[in-house]
Amino acid sequence: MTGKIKLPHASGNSMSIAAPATNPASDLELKLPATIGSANQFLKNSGTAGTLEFSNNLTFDGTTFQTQHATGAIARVQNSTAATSQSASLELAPANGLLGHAIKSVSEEDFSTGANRTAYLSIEGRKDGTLAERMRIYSSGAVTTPNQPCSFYIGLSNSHTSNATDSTETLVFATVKLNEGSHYNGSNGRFTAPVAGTYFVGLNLLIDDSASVASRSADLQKNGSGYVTMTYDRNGGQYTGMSGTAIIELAVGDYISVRATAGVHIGGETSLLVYLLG
Amino acid sequence: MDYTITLTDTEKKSMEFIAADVDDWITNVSTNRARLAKEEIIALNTAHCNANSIAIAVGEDAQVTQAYTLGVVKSAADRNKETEEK
Repeated sequence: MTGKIKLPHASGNSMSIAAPATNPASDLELKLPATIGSANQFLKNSGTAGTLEFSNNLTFDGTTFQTQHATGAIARVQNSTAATSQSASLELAPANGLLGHAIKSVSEEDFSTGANRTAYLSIEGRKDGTLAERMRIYSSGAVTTPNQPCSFYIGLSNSHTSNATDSTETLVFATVKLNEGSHYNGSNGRFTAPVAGTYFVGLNLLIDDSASVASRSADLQKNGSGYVTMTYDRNGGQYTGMSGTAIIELAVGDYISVRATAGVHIGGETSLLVYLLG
Repeated sequence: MDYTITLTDTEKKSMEFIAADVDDWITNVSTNRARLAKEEIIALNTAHCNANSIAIAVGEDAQVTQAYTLGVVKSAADRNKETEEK
């Protein structure tokens, strides 16, 4: 026979407090809290096992799960296996009950001793249904963002005579070295901003030795309009290196390009790089 | 394919403030986004064909068509319709 305390409702049905489903190891006792607690508090063991109390520092109101402490609140997600490639994650599901981001701590060593406790932090994000790592903070403090927009192109596909561009025109860099996100278009010489932000632009030009003696310049253009002259030189008739850098604020869809005077060497000594600073 | 958009006079003046050629700016946004989508479709189609021993169509246009024909990709409108029907 199972002991229970039956509490009948005025309408006829009842609620019971019953003995455990399995036999306890010994005669045990649970002491109820001395208060009725506050809204959204959890019921937990006090410092004395078997004595229940309402938690003052852990609440859940149906929306926010909150841990509170006067000097140092901590929410801990713990994996107890001592091995490499173990993880503890905080998963965020912004819509439809599905995971959008995960913040994950991953063990690089087995954590068995102090000398073997190395971990990195990974931030994963979902794009078009696929979840992938977007940022990693290594134990050393180094940070990598593998999908940060960046482009590095060398050489030109512009029309040319004796390896020197023929006219003042937009430089179209032709050979891709790096084009994360494919935001540089090697067909028209435009880098179109995928996100609003501040971008770094670097330009290296080689003036061809076949170019006439004249002033040379290259302008960074934003949406087809001059933004800044990146480099200027008055030499000619000899190989001359010219370079320049700039930072520029772009909105989504804004594009940048480089417009330069004739005489630019079309080979790999001429290059352009663009990357998102943030 | 031609698409027509209508800007108010204020929107036109605002766009002229940021772009030397408004028509070119709008066209670049669209064609550049289409270029990125095309690259993504071709990559998905190539992966699908390689995984299923299917001959990959010749040329980018043909590969985009093949991706739709094989069901590797569906239009966003069709994906929305499928979601609504569930």
